[in-house]
Amino acid sequence: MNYLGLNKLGELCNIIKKTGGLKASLYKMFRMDELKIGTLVGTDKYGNKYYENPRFFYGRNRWVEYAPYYGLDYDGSQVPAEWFGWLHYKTDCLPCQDSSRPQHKWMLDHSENLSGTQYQYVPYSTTKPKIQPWIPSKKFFRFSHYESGYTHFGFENVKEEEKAKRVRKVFDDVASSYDKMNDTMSFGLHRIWKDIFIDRLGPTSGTKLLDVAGGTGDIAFRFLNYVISAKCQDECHVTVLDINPSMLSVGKHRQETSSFDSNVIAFHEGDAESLPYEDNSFNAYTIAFGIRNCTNINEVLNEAYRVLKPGGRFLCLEFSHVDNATLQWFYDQYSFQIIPLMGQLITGQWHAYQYLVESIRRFPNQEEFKNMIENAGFRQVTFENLTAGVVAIHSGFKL
Amino acid sequence: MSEVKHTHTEEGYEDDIKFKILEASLPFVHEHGWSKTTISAGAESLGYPGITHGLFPRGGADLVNHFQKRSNEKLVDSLKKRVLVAKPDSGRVIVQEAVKNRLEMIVPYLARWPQAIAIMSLPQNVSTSLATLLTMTDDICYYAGDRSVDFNWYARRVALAGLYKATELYLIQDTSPDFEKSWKFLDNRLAELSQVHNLVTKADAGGFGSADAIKSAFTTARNIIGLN
Repeated sequence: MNYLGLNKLGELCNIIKKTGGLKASLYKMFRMDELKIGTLVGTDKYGNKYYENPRFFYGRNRWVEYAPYYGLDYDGSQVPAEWFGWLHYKTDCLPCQDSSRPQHKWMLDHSENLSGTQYQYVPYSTTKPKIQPWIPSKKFFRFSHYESGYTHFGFENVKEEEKAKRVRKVFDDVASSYDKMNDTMSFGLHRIWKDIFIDRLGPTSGTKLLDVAGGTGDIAFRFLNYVISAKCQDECHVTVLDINPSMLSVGKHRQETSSFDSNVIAFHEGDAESLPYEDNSFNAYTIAFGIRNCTNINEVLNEAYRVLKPGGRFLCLEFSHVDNATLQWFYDQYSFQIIPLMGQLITGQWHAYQYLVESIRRFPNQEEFKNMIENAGFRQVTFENLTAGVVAIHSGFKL
Repeated sequence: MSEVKHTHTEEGYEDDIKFKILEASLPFVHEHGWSKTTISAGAESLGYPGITHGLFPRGGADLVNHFQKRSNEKLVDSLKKRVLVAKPDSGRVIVQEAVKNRLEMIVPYLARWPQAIAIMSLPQNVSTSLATLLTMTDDICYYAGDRSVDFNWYARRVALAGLYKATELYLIQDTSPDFEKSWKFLDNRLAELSQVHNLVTKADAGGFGSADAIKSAFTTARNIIGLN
């Protein structure tokens, strides 16, 4: 029997039987590439089983069977330190018998090598990266997603013909308390902005000014005061154009109760996108806090170019984009949290003021708007930021 | 004016208009001084509205700067012609003529010139006024035959700038007929400069070491005002 090696068959049957049947044996062969039996000498706390069989030669007579939950993902680092020594013949004592093994409270449990797994340690960089990845804006993609025939009303997209109606309603609602709210919301800064605006215009005698979207006459009266104090009021005239009769009536009322003569100032109702005037009929065009409410900004700019005389100046005062991230945060908090609330408390108009702050964010930034002005044909186009870019003055000449 | 919308590639177009407006403004300096009002008047004389003065946000300073630059160009033109007929070794004569020639250009505006000096001494205008002054002295020195590449290069230009400015200040208070006293003043200062130059050259030869310090200070100053 021994000569023919038939005793090996008996051994194989014995091994298969001890391993737990044919199926379990095949799995063990597949998982561990060998099939051998020995004496179970111990189990560690992770469930790995340690065997010994002196029938095999030195180097193969101690082995580990990894706990079943590792599946095929087993590796040597899953053997804890105390068993490692026994497995590699550093000691013949089993961990439980080895009295020289140090035992301290502060000793951590063994953990396997986690490299290459999702739990691996990744050191984070303590230096600021020089290149910031581009992250698309989550809030809104300016100008990129409009369907044709649609425009924006605050953060909403609306049909073009509807925007004019809704803007009109906003200003109908706020006309009576417009100046009061401007003072409150900007802490009076809007007066300084408008004064700087007129100073940049620097009107001279003979200036024919068209002030678009200036219904309440803020710019127009500043212009008249400027030319009177600079003693160059000869032949100066200002035309106030606004699409909204409620706003115009506020301006008219202010003119009637002021000392200004009605032949230096005229109030007209009309649309900035189709001005009811001849070509080359004004030598200055101003629009303060108005252009972002217009449906088609390019059309407004083209019309401005048309009605200006050669050498005439286009000046636009408009909310713009803050260039400083910290200030931007404060400005955002103030705009979205406080302004609509103040609008509600002072005028009872939450939505009107929410629209105002949203429309500011949707308006093109300084450089984009400058390009738009240049595309309308203006030359020597410049802009100047006031209050860190909360508002900007854009200037252009028809040359 | 054509009503065609211009493309923005033609850079020269705007500069051309600005040049014309400033040029047309100069005759109004007598009336309104170096100011926005003058530019407005100049623009109006060309058929532009007065408001066009906004093209020149620095107002009077832009006008003075334009005048200085234009005068420098005229000076260079006359120097080019003068050099063709110059005898060798006539450097000092050329310098004297050039400074006189250049100062005569401001004579028509003499009544308003103190205002121009005041405007150009404002901190925000100092760099441009220094730049035009040093360009002028550089041109004069070059055409007067200065080809030095050593410390003299700086010394001559600074000395000449000082000389020019001193004579300019003398000129605006000069009441003598044909400004004779100013030209005499110029002559005397040039003579003094020659003496000083001799002295410095000799002192340098004797191991005077301060030249390097002055040279480096001058380079720094030129860097600051953006000439280098």
